[in-house]
Amino acid sequence: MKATDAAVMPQALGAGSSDDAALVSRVVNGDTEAFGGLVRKYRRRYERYAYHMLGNREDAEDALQDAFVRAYDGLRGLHQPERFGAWLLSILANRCRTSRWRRSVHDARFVPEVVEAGVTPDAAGAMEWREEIAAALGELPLEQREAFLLHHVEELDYDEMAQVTGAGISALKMRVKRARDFLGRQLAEAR
Amino acid sequence: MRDDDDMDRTLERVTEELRRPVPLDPWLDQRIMSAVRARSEPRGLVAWFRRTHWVALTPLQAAAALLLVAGAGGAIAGLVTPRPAAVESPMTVVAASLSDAGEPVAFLFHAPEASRVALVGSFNGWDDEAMPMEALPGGLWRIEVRVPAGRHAYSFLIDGEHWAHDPQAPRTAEEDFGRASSVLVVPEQRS
Repeated sequence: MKATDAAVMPQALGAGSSDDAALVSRVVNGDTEAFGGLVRKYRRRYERYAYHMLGNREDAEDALQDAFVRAYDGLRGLHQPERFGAWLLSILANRCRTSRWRRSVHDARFVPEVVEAGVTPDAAGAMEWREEIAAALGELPLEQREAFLLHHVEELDYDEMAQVTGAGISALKMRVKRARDFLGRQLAEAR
Repeated sequence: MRDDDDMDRTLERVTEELRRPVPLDPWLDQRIMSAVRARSEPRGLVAWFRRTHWVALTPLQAAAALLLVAGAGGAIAGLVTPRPAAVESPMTVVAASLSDAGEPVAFLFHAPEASRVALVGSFNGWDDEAMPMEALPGGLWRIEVRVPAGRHAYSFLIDGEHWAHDPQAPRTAEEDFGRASSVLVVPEQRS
């Protein structure tokens, strides 16, 4: 999806934010620092998606930075500035897809990084559970992982997912179903 | 049926885990904004003319430069009507004379639209009130200070909020966090 295809962004990814539109307008008119407001708002919202798509912090941070820079570069072509958040997610999803594809050329397999959590009474069990989830997620084909995360974790509906990914709705439903079946089987056995 | 219920419960727990925040670099926002600011800077010949440039001058040379700027300004003013666009870039000429320890260092700064400029640096504890610069004709600001021998970081603070530095001068390590400073090295006093 091109950076300027924002005219058809889905509603629920943001029913539209007048705050976003105001910030975009300021940036387009030369106030670069106003972009910081968009970064603060959307970086935390989308970092989880980037992290689970790419499997490690470094790649997730690179993808987020790259997505924001691409968004900044393409801001003048954004026809619906109130949909900045949805547009940014489509850029990020594309960036994550590209990054995973490039890495798959070099890596034999996806090796997810498991984030250490704070010490809790059942920290070991929680860590083991996270490792199992990360490993299972890493075994999913890229398109299924993307569809599962967008639908079940980021809570997008299928229309929104179609806009973000450029895939058809029936294909997305099939990807989600296959991902659910795989993860359910793998992780039910693990538990 | 029971298998389906088990799978649903497993997927609920997977989703719950994947929705937890992920701990990325807390400075990522600043990194993104540094990258964005770099994109917003003009490039090529235009960039060279709009960029702040530093020159090292002896106090005598600084005085001669002042006279030259004032003289050229007067000559041009007699020939053409000044256009506002000529001061579009508010910070263009900066000079810091080289000095041995104990001798005053002269800082010369061009900021025609500023209402106040302060020299701040490691040698005055970054106190924005310690070293206010003197306004001179032609939008120039000047101050002479005695700086001890050693390596010092410094910047110019314009109207209490804008920091000015030289993109080509040596920088301090704080550059990535959005506030770069320049470096001045004052040698030991010659015997």
